[in-house]
Amino acid sequence: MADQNLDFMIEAEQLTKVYGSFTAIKDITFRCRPGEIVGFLGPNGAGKTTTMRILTGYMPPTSGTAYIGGHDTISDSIAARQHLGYLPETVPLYPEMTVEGFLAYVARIRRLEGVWERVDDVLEAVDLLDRAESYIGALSKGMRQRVGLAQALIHNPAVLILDEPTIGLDPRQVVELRALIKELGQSHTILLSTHILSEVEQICDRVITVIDGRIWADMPLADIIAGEGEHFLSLHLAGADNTTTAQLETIPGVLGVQEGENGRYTLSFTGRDETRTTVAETVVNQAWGLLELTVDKVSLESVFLSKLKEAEEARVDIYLQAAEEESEFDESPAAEKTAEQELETAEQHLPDTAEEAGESSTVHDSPSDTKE
Amino acid sequence: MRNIWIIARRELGAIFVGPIAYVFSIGMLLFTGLIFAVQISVPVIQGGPAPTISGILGTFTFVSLFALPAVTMRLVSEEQQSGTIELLMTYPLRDNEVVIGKWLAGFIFYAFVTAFTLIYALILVRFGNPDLGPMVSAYVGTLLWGAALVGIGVLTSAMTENQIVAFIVAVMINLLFYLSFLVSNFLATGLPPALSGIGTVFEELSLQTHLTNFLNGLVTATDLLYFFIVAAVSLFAAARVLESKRWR
Repeated sequence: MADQNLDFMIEAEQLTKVYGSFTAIKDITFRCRPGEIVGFLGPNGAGKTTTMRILTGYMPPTSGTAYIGGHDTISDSIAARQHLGYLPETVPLYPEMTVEGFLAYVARIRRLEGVWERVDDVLEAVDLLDRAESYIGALSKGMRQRVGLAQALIHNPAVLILDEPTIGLDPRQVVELRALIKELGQSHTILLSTHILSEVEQICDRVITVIDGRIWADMPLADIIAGEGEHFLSLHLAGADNTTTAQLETIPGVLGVQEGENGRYTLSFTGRDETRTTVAETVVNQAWGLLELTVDKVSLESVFLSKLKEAEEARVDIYLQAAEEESEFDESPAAEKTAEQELETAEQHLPDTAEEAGESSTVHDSPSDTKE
Repeated sequence: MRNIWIIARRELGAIFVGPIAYVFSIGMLLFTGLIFAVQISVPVIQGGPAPTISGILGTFTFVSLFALPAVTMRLVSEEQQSGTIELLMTYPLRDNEVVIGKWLAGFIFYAFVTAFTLIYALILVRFGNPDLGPMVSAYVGTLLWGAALVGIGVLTSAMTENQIVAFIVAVMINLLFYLSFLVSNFLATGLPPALSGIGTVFEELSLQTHLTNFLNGLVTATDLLYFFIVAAVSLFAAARVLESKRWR
């Protein structure tokens, strides 16, 4: 097994992968400590899968090195792969095999003692014991996903790499799988990719955001959210008068006050607790009739979306610049068009991601009881 | 070794699940059965030499040039097409082990089907008085032939994720190897004696040349080595092809 005293179970050093003229990832560097659940977040096509394939030893990087449990994924590939469980994005499985037959096959490859006990254990962990004798081809997408997870878990690896593990599952399965991953995180180092933001918020200790093949942010979740300067307070007052706005503005820490309809106010403030208590005191002392006082949390989603927008704008700027320079030499509108297309894709990205995030958070709030 | 057997075992299971294995087996038995029926009828009606097992195995090996690629085409292609190769290549297995395991499964299947022809051998032994030596050597040659063809099949299957392409390329390579003795025959008549060496090269390259010795009861080191080399080179190339796919 992997040396448990290692500082880092997953290490990526300046990974770059170039396909022909297309650079899929560039200078990806990060490390994961033992027992950490790290989210790998980014829009589709950002290079998440490529990075994961390099870490699993499926493909070598064009340059850079990767280590799993302290073993180089190229020069010491077999040892690295022994410490690794991998769930690929598409969950490829053999449809003609039974669930237990396939898992026993993996257990034998993994050289496990007591193959059938391990198969039973892992089937129990993913809640598939009753389908052990079914053919994989006859399983639903969600069950196949769990078989995929079972084959990744069977040798109790130190490192788990999961490529979009919850994609295609129904709401109940998503909730269950997230709980399972969280539980596994206590004894495994997990790197999981997703483009669903609420998933990251729920499961991960740390988030690495990848956009266009580069790391945009790598920090604990709390830091990402706290790092944003402005926080908001919503006030709903029954007895506000025309001095309210002015008085609220004088409270230390309040950056601005916006008056809404029917006694609603939105305060932007620095996020410090003292400011909130002072606001509450003032409201009570002035007898403005407090109906509601809430803190609007900055969600990871909004932070991510703004990052994404920044990235897309930066990219579009580069294209526009290039287009301008080019048009000085030749009058063809082709370059201009590329920039426009880029803008379009940028716009398409945003609602898409927001929608998915919104969708899955509703799911979390009200887990449905649908049986598969 | 253990890994090779684990792969081969799974692969054998997959071969017998699909219909191709059964179509192949039935076809082979049909062809050899027809030939056998004709071979034992003719001496009875017209008189003449008693049939030998070589005639049956000659048919068997010839048909397998076209039919065996249908069995071997999926060995690696299927994994590439379905994506299971991604799992396989991230398990702690060496590319060589994967390739040899696949080959072993194909070879065991071929040997299994070959074993059905023992029925004809038993009939010949029961009702005639054939020489056992040539019979054994004919079977050794038939198995070696299969080892080489399965090797070529694994190679073409590793090259593409398209099973049809793997099939066609394997049949073409098989035929090139098989027919090269025709080239040598042609050259033998058309070339000055000084260049007859070229003809010999083509003759030695031919699968048929080396099988004929076995079928005639002649076991030589050259023939053994020939089939071994064809299988080994194919598998070595297949492993390198698989390895190179990682870099694309």
